[in-house]
Amino acid sequence: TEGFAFVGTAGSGGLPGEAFSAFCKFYERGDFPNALEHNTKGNKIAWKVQMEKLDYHHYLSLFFDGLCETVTPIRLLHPPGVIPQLIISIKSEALSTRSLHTVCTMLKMLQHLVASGEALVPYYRQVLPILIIFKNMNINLGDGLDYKDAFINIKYLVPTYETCMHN
Amino acid sequence: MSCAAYLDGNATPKSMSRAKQWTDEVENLYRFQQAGYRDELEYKQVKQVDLIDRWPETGFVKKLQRRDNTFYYYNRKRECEDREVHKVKVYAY
Repeated sequence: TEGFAFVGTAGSGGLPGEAFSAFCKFYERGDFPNALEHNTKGNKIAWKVQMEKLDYHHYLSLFFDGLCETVTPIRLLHPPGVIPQLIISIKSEALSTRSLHTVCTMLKMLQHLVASGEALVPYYRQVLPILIIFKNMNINLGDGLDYKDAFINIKYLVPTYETCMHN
Repeated sequence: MSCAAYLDGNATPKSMSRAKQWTDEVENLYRFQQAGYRDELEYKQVKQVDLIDRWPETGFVKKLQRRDNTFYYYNRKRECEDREVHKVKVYAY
């Protein structure tokens, strides 16, 4: 990594010219089992360990930290399998139980995950449909939350949803 | 590529040409060459494996082990852009 200075992204709290996120620090220290390689065909990530055997208990929080990074080459380093792996667990172990308590706990976790950026957007259609079974529980905010596209996004995934906002 | 080449574990190519347009075969050759091999035959010779890890939907190569034993992972969809197609070497046996 000689010649590279990993700079914290705007809003990450880092000073210009300073590596800030834990992901940056761990990568510079060589803690990750991967490395970015450059060749005539572009950049490629070489993994020292097979991704299927990766200890996600150890690495998952670090890779998620890296999802916030927008500076190349850092943003290229997080594995493409992290989020799909999470989504599988979210669906099969939590949401499919249809237990109110479990689903609510998972939703609270998802609220934190979406703060990591747009990386989860492609998976909304996998995660949100289960909430159809709860739509008639009128104690929730529905599209009353402070998000201008809330109604259209909910309607897309829950077609029978009706707005709780009254003009 | 002749059937005999597949049976002979030490086959060497007789000629090489550059790909003219993208095809599924060119895509896989691109992936093998990115990992440092000529093609699937050389990979199987070097790594002594029978099966290559592929994406079930597209049949594209999914994972390869390089000569330094690190791993390259490839996307389910096309990775070889049009501007890279002419760099892909197609070997004839």
